Amino acid sequence: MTAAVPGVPAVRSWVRLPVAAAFFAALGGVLLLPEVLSVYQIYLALEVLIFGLAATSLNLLVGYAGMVSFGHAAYFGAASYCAALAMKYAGVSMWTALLVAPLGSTVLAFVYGIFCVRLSRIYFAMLTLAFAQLTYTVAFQWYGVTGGDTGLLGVMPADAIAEPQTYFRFTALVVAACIAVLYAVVRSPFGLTLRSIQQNRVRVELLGVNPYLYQLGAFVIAGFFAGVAGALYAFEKGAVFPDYLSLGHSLKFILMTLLGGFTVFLGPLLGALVFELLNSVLTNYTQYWQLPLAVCLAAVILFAPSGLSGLFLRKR
Amino acid sequence: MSIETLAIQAAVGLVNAMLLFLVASGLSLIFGVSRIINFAHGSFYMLGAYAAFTLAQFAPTHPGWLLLAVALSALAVAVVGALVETSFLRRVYASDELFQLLATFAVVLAVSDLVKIVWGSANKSLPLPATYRQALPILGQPFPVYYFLLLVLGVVVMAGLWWLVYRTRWGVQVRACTDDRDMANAIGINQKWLTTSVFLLGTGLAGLGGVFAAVMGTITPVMDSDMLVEAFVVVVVGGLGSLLGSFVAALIVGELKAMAILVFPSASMVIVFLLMAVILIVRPWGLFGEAEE
Repeated sequence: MTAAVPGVPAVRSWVRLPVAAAFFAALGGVLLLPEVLSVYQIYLALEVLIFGLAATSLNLLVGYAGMVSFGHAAYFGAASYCAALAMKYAGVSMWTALLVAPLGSTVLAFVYGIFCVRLSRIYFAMLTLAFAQLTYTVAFQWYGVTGGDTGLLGVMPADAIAEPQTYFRFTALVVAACIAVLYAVVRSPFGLTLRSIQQNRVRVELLGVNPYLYQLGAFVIAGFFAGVAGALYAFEKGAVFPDYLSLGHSLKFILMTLLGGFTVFLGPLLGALVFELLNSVLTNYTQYWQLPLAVCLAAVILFAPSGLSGLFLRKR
Repeated sequence: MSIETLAIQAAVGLVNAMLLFLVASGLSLIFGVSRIINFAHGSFYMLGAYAAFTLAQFAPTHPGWLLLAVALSALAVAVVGALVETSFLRRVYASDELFQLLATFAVVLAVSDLVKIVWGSANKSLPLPATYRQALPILGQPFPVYYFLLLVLGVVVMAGLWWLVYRTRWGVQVRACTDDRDMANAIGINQKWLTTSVFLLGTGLAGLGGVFAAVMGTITPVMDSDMLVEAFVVVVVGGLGSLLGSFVAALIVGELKAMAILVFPSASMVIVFLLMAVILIVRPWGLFGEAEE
């Protein structure tokens, strides 16, 4: 606890006991899941965790910094490619690839971010889209290195975690650690500053804060965690395709974030869960899963405008 | 490469540029008045192509059907667009822009599945009458007649659009709203009706573009997203809400793509997005847009 200064609210301790208890209880539950789930369900749960992490990292921008990125798949997919390329051309192990990949997406987010964060709202969104499409087309057209749309195959996890059950537990631990760090980030002074920039930029500037630096920081952090998700995804699929970088993936992350509710930290994770469950249940019955999803979205828009999590948590 | 090859690529680029302009101008008009980034714009484009395909089943023998199909398909899409606006999108104008985005996504997803349900997932093509498929020799190279028909039609539509936006009372209101929504509202412009009419026109233009695309190539259930992204490029490069900007940008993008295929075939797509990124970095409001504050 910092000492109380008159007029300045003390920054609350970052992690409270009930939150930590709930976190470890949930993690314990998730780690037990492979005992009860079929292999198909394990892969489904893997996607929930991975996309949930990607959407949560996106929400650092959307929900906390008010920056809507249309190109978050660029950092997700770039990490997938980094992992695959590092294994293919440098012959590194899966563990090294998993460490290198998010660094690659972080560098990319830094370079793109320098230009993006200078722009406001729609122009920001459009530049993130342009950079993501640029990255996508490079992966798609640079046949010699990326294999074009045939992708890169044989991105296999190390033997120790090659089984679906063990890979799921490994992923759950990594995702949990990332979610915990992201939670600490949004509750840190850095996170609070981000939110205040969104609420009153001029005032924050007058207090001597450079908003660009904070927004760039958020962009880079979001790129890093999207990269962790992208690397995990590459090893789940065992292959990397340009589709990972596509607008379709970027839109999916936005959809999950908004479906779950961007005003709540765990909203995007909930959105990923609902999206994947809906998707898998519907595809059992019909190939037309987008139409029911559209109806759900319309219902959320008209009746639950703060996302699904808003239905449970009503702000006073 | 020879001058002929260049000229042919330039002509191909010109027709593509016109198609791009039709779709992008609709997107730009809709954004100008409603401030909605309409992700469903590509879906209306796709609907236009499929509408033309269905109409073609009824009267494929007479050469005049193509003109009729063009007019009816665009009209049908315009009506659908206006219905979507009045029944659904209108409800989110007051909401956060993220919800507007989500609402247009919902339309994208719904149209995508509806198209597959109604028309199936297989690619389709328009049965063009032989009259239109005849090749005219231009610079010693064969050019199908329908290219010229589309060019003429496109120019007529552009002239009509220009007249509507710059020479009518309705056009003045549209431009006023694009410039300053609140002020336009304050002086008594009926936003509700204006927005619906702009959706009618904008989605109609997208539908028209779809018909043209159907004449020139194949109709696929995924044609919506490719066009959406290219329309974004054109609108951003030209400047959001600027009709002239969309026109110039469509020419630039259409010709750039056509020429890039000759020079760097493997980087043709990269160049287009590079242009978009550079414009956003150097001049975010686009070539003909106005800088906001």
